[in-house]
Amino acid sequence: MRAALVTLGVILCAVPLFAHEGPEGEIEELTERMKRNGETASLLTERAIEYRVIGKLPEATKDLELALAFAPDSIGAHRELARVLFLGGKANEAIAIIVRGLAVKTNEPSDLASLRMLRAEIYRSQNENKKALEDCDAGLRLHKQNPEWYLLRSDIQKRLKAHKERLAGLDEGIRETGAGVLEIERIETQLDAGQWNAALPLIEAELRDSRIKSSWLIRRARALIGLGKKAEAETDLKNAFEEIAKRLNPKNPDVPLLLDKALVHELLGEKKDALRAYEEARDKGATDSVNDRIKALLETPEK
Amino acid sequence: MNIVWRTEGPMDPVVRYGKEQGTLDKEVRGAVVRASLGGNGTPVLPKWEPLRTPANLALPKLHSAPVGTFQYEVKLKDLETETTYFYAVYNGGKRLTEDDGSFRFTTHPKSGSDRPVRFWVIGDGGTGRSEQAAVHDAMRKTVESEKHPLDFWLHVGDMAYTTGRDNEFQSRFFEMYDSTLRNKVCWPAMGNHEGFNANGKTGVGPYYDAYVTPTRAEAGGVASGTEAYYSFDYANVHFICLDSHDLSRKPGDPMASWLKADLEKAKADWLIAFWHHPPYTKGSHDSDKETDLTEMRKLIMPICEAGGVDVVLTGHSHIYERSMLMDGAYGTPTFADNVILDDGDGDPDGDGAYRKSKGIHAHEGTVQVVTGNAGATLGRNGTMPVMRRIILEHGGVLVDVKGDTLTGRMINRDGAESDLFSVVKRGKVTPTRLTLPWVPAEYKKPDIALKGVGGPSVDRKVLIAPGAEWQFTFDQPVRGKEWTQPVFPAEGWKRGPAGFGYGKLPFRTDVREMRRKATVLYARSEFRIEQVDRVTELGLEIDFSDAFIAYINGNEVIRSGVGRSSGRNAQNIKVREQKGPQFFALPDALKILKDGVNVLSIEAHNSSAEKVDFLLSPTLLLED
Repeated sequence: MRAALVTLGVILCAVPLFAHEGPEGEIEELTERMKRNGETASLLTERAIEYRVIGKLPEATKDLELALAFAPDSIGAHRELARVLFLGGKANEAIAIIVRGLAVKTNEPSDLASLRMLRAEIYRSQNENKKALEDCDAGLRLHKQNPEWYLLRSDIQKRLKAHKERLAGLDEGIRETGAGVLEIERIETQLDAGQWNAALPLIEAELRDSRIKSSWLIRRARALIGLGKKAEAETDLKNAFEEIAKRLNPKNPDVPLLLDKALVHELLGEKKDALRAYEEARDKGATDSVNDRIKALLETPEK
Repeated sequence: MNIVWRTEGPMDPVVRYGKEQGTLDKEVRGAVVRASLGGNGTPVLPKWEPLRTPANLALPKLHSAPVGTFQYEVKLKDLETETTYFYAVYNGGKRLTEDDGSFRFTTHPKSGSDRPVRFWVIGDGGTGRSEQAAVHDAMRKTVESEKHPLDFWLHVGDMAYTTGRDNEFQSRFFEMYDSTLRNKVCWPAMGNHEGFNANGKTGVGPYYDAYVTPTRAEAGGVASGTEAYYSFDYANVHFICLDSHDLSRKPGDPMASWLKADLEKAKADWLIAFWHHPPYTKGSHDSDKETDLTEMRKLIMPICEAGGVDVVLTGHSHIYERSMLMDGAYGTPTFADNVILDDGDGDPDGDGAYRKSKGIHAHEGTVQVVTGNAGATLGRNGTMPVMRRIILEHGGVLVDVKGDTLTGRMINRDGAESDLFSVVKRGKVTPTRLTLPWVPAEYKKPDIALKGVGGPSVDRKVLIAPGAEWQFTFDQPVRGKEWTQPVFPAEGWKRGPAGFGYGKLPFRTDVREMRRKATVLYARSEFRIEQVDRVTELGLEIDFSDAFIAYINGNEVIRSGVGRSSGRNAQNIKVREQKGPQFFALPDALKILKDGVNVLSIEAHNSSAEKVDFLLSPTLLLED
């Protein structure tokens, strides 16, 4: 519905703004505008984002540093610069920028939260999990509506084996956001914590409601193995494998399916097949946590 | 259903609604949900000072909106499904909206119900220029002339150039689409231009101020917990919206995990996904060069296709590009070979609709539609080889889903239909990957290597003799590959002995009627094999002019002189200089033979309908 308010009403943008030919074109236009009218924090940030999209991280860094010189209170520019530095492998420099950003006064708590959570990601990548958890907790106190951040905290708590706190944190996330992925993560946490009987009825309900069942069959198998029902677990794993095989594109398999396939092999004690599938998933872009699985498997003695 | 509006200054928000225009017999009191009153210490006009109460200042902020702006939302509950309601916004007892019948909405039909669905899809329109208005008008005139209104519309992003600020939303989105927005729900995906001032991680910014999208599965699907990505059901279609701009696309990260979970649960007949950055494009953007696009292809498309998604709608690239039926094209750069399942044009009156099995199945093919052509200046950088239509015109896409058929039409700014494609989901279809599919003209063609050319087998039996009877046609419409399958009615086809031809020599079956009318002759003949596991070699001895493709039991086994694609879409037909029969070993055919009746099908091509001669004379040989 049309709002009944007085708009600013001035259309400042000239035609070329809509005439770009990809990021390179945008960069060219923004450069022209800055030559003509001078550099501003906003234009430099816009250009930096385009540089990042095409992988020109040094150029993006340079623009963002300049943007911050023009607008030292821009939390967005701090966040973007920290992100670009982190992407470029400069984690400590990224943390230093975040520290500067956190000192900026703002009316928008979510801005500060996003800086905290970015630093948590960086700490996690450095295996500084306790520091990462502190940032997550602080970030989630400032902004409670992002399911992604509850998952980040859950992952860090998993690394710290803090399953009780992990469950409580996920309960909070489910209350605040209702996100389905948090419900799934909660069941995963129950399995990680050995709460087989608590997890089982929830898994059964999901199985009844799902068109594609393999992920839930695997979760049920994990619970059944925990309860010592190995034969039943094996049946679930074989059924899951069959469904996965039907859905895998033989030439270009997708990562989540490969991860499920690897887990089936792992739970069936087929270490070599599991490793092969995990490695393929890693090569196709799985998150870094797959490396933990590979490492753990390599440390497991052969059966 | 949420009704959202704004005012300058506060009001007493009331919405009245009912099933008759003149009888708005229900009433809901609303509440202010957001306000713009300046930050701490920001100077404001004296008239706004009294409004800067602690309660008002504690309200969520309207980002970049003029000071004094108040936003209201009213949620109407317990509505009947598939029912039209009229509504009016009141300031206390004073009606603010006109009483002209245009303020109305229709609720969603029951999930899974089989009723026709029509929606409009646009992207990259938010310029405020005449092209944007023309595209909107063209859609309105089309649906009016067809007497078939929209159910809702999708915006695939870039709705408020240049940086998605509040005033840009106001003048380039709300005011441009005013007449449609008041009675049709717009389901949005955030574009990169909105993303300059909105953050997908926090859900903060003018884009998020402008929309209420489901976070707790209010309209079906799995709850996403965020407005950045979500899903909803409409009748027998499940829609999935992703944020391709500023969230991680990595499998295992939240958005991809949610996508996987949502697809695991989806039980609709049709799955349609939409977002901003196209996985395949060579329009004003290049999906082989830009990370955002490459990652959507490499990381998200595999999940979509393993989940059975039928159509992907995107924008960002200022062009209209529509693909063939495709699957598994995740590499960089994108090639068409082995990822196209049907290289026809998808037009029911052309090459025929794309065919998929009934229901939802992994890897049976997706149609990609890039529709970033709703207003921004158009641009093209190259040719994406998986595309069947590449059109530099402003426009939008009207999609109709009726039972087992989905039809998409690009309606350009003048109201003309610039593209038409259909997908039909019926029966059981076994997808086949085309080794050398049709590609758009600008694509540099690879050298064609003839496969399997070798000497004749020594101890051979004749399975199909030189003068054997075949079913054949050159004047019946032949679409897709059904004609190569073991079971095919061949209605209207003729029968006659091989060879077929015209020219100076006499032929067993003279087909001179072909000349100047057709360049392709389709022929099929059955043969029997008693014990497949004893067959060691199969070969085709064939005299032909100029080119052919042979199939056994629906699978291509050999081609000569045909560059790409097949049937009426065949490209690069070479003139055959060599005379006399040629032998082709068919090693790949052994895997597809079966005990009992098999079918050899051949499409024979002439390089030109004007050419004075044509020949097809095949013999099928076996060594066991």
